Amino acid sequence: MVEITHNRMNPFIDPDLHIWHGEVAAYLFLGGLAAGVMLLTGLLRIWKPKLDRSRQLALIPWLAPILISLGMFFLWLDLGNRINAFRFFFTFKVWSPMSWGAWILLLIYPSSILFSWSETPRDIRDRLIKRFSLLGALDRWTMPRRDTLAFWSMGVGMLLGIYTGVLLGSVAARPLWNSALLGPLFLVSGISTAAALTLLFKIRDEERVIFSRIDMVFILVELAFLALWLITLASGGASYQAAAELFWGGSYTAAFWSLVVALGLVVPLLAEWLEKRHQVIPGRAAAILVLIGGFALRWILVFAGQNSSWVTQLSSH
Amino acid sequence: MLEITNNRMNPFIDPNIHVWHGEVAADLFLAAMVGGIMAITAVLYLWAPRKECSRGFCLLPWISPLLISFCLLFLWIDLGNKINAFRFFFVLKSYSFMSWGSWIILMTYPASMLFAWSGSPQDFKDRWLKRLPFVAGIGAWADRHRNGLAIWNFITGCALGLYTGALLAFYAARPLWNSPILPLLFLSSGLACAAAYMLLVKLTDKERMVVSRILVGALISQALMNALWFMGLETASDSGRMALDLFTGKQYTAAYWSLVVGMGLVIPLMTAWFRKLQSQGLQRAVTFFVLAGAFALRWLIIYAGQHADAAGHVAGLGG
Repeated sequence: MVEITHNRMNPFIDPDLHIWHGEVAAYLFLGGLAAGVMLLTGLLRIWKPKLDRSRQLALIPWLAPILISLGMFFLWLDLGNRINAFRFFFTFKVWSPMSWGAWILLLIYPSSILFSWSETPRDIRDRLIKRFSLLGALDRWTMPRRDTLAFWSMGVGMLLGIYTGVLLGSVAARPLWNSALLGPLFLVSGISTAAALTLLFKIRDEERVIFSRIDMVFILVELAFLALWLITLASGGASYQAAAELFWGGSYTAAFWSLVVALGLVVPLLAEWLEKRHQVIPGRAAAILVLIGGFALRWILVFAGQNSSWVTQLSSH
Repeated sequence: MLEITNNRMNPFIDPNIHVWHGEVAADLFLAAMVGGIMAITAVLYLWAPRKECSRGFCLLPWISPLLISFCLLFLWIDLGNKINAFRFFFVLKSYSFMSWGSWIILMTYPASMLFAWSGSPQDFKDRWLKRLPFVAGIGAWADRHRNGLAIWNFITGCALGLYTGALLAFYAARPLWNSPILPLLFLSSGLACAAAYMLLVKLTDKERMVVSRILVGALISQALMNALWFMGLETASDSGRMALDLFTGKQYTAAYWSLVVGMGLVIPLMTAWFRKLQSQGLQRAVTFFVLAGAFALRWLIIYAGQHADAAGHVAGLGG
């Protein structure tokens, strides 16, 4: 007699009902970047209103709607039933973080586009108004409200950045994700990666220095939040401790500590500190590493989280 | 036959082995406020090192060592075996947050005193140098290293503020406390308390404006952390949700929403929103509300946290 026993314990199939892949990680990364761009450019308007912005920096706010559209495309790719995506915007479920997220994503468009328009250099705006006269009304409405739009952009950006973490943090069945700190962690990581992204553009030297310093501060905050998150996991219940094991000897240890902590945080922090110490104009190498680290953080968290569950036995991986 | 059954389910006795009272709340409140004062004064110095400050502002950091001493006094009063308190400072247990905390508290003394000295007005320094000439050497050293001392103050202040929350957050047995957001909530609240306290001191209009902006920022951050903490509890296990019930329908609800949220957050933020924070009378009332709200936050969390345990049972509530 040939007997076949099927234990239904295939990794990523059981006990998972639904699987999140790389598209979700890409969406979380792009959402965090868009949030960071909105926050930083809004902050710069409030903090340094008289700063003579370079052309490239003045156009940076336009990245937010582009990045969020790309992010939403990845999210759409991840959906099982793509045709039903529009239904997110025909309902609002107070207790569903995803429903909140859908509406926050929609809020991003008017806030970021209006603010971006108000930051756009005069000659570009004039050229566009000549072609599309309707834009004249938009120009007259936005220009006296620059500060309000900046505050609005910062507020919505903050919501978006926190939401990308809350989306994972509110899944109680995944102890690795189920932490209230994930929202602030993803927000600061988003701000840091947005500062790094800005450094990739051809902006003025004094602007590069400002964004490099901002990046340094947020890398430090991110390191502190990561430590706090790992300590709370390690001091939580058995499921949380087992989840923390994934980064303390488990299969994600090498990737997490090398890509996220070393390559994405410690090395760029050291590089930016050395640039500051030797009064060198910040370059692009550290910025690229920050972006890689920010993406790796989300990628590893999305996958590792699905390997942690409320049973203390981790599914094989 | 008369039969007595003792279920050993008295609130605050079972299943609690050790009970924390108001002294711990007072300790956490004062420590977070000191952390906030250290962090804010250090950042304002680092932001504009060459800026002249008013006498009141320059002397502000001296309150830190005084308040931290009161904080230690409350902690000492809470101890069961008071004579053994000194043992905290003869050991460092890397896995014990209380051990870390005792060393952080000890670090605040040199950090805050040296920074306070380096920023004090010259006539103040001269008067004390006449009385205590032996401090001249260390005073001169502090004057030379003010930048480094400011960074040291900022780090110690943040560590102290975070520690006050971490002390509770790492108790896995108390679901209400067991949240990584608690250190950030207590740090934000500590910064708000510090800014509120600073507004009670005689400052220039410019300094008052900067400090009131910091107060508003800290209050917004506190409100955000509070929301995230509640969301974290609501989306956690049954134990977390039952612990949250203490603030959303059960016995701590009225006190929490009226004292912490209403008085400590909403009224001060509304005052700032309507641009009334510049009025002297309202400013004093708001600072009082912020301080009272921050104290209530710690008091209520200490007591409510001991009512909820990890089994999802809310002691004494029939839950």
